[in-house]
Amino acid sequence: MSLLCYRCLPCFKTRVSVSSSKLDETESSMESFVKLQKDAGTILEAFPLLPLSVDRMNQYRANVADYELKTVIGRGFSGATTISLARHRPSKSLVAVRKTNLELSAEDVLLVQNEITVTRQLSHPNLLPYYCTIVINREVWTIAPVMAYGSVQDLIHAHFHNGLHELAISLILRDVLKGLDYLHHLGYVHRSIKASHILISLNGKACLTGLRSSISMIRHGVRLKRIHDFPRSQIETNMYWLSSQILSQNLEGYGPKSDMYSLGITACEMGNGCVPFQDMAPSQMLLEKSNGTMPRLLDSTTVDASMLQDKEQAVEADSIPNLENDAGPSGADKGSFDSLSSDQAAYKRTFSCMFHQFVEACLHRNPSLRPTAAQLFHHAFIKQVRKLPVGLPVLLSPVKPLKDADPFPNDMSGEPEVDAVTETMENLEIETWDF
Amino acid sequence: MPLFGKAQKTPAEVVKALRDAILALDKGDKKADKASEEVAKQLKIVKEMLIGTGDSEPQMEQVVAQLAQEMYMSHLLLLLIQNLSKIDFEPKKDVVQIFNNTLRRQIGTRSPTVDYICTHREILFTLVGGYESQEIALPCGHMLRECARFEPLAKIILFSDEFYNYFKYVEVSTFDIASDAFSTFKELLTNHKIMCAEYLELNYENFFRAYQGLLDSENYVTRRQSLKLLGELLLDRQ
Repeated sequence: MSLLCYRCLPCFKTRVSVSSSKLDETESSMESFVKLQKDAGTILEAFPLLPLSVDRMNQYRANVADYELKTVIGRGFSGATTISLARHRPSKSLVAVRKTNLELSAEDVLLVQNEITVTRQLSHPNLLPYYCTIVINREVWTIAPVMAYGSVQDLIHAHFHNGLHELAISLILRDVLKGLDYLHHLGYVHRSIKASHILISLNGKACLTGLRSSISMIRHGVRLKRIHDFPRSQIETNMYWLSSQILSQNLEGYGPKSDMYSLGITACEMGNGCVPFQDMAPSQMLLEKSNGTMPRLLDSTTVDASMLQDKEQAVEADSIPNLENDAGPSGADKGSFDSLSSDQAAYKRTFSCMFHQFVEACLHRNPSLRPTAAQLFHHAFIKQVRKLPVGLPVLLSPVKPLKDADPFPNDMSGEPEVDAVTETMENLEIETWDF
Repeated sequence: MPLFGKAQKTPAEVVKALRDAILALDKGDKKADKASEEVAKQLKIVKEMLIGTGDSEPQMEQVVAQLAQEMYMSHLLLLLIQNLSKIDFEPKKDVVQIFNNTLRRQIGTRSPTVDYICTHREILFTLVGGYESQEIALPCGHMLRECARFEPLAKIILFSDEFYNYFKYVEVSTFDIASDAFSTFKELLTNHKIMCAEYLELNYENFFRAYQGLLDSENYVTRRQSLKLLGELLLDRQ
């Protein structure tokens, strides 16, 4: 039996013409956005770029004309999301505008929706807040604070090719653990903790973001012991960080301890400058993980001098066929050179015993023996930075934070005139549809 | 008696303490800060009794039953929902969990909370009205979707005049609230197929006149979601 008879089809047909949304009309119907509650104090402390009073916080309205787009500072979600620096016109402050093109599959739209609803219901200084979300044409815009140093992955790409300083990692992980503890306490599993989801603010606070694949352990008012949902979205990129409990998809399921495993992998990523297992095929990585192979931090205690020599010889042997192949300075050649230099760099440094222990604890094969976020917060590796006289920005030099938008030209694609033209084009196309 | 710490309060005491705290908060006199702190504290106690924390187990079935009974007697659920906007950010989520947990209670095949709400419909309409106010829209939506799982409750909302407010809520300018309202709207229309078919048959003219507005919406997301839902309604064969 069909729920509805087909007599509605005629009316359905006539209604499919897509009307254009005019910018000024969007403006008029806007309502002020939800107050950031009493935690505003701590949040303001975390984001120095915010205006200083709670009243002024309310000014981040769902009004397109308030935001003057500057330059694109990042991309994500397989290119569907672009993050632009923007100036909030009324307050002249800088904000980050994340534009997600919604012409995605219905499943992906649900994920974007999940990310936004979950983020809006969280309030913690170490979780990136969204001030407001607006739908503009085919895009959803999310207004968020600017994180001046970008993601930790950006930092690795920009300067720290062979990994960050140990104290910097400790400072970052301390903040991440606070945010993660809050998430776990509320019953969420993050499921995509990685360096690219950790953002650093101007004053060196780390914020966790990327809640798109997060899932709640509380269903219908009951806290589940374990969950079995498999995070399908972007699994090709995320799987290197995921625990074998998530990847093996068996009856045992997984819980918040899976995030601790991902945190361990992220710690290796930050220490080594590369993600463990990344040179492996997915099936081999899964085999290694389920066999309990534990990734390690590369330093003088774990990288052997003899290993280094072996590698050197191997590289020489490798490079001969490469030269004959006429591929010239191919990716493979360059890649092996890079890995050689990173091994050498690793051999020269020594991470503290505490850091090694920290990583080992996170990556423990048995999830029930991995510590919780709250327990790790009291780990000696995290405690060592309690009385550190220098902040994260000092440890991150020479990387410069993004302070000012003035050098960047305005991004014209957000301007009304351009939008109007784009819209007419879109309408033209749609009118030719024939049902 | 436990050897250490305070003796555990009985369900009646806990419910009374929470009720008193909310009434104090509702009055809104000078001690509002203190009252909201007290509400947060009591909500946490109730939540832990029902759901447990990550480490501890929930209370025995018997205690939970008593607790639920006290909640019905004192009309605590309605009181919580009516004062939701005055409750702080984090405890709001506790209210949602308490509500959802109480709702799914079953004695044999009977759901006592569902029966209770059927006789106190204002709970449902207060929840629907929650979409009017930005700070409680998402928690109310969450509770409503749990209600929509139960046919008697979905039926009350669907056949009420308040249901037509959804056509307004799904078009608000903020994406998070609009899309949350739409998920609730969709669940109300698709969860219980026979009942929904009956509703659409009876209210064909009114419903689709309003629905055309969604298909014509200025908002791309509304247009797309409503088109998809229409497709599902049309093509679902059962």
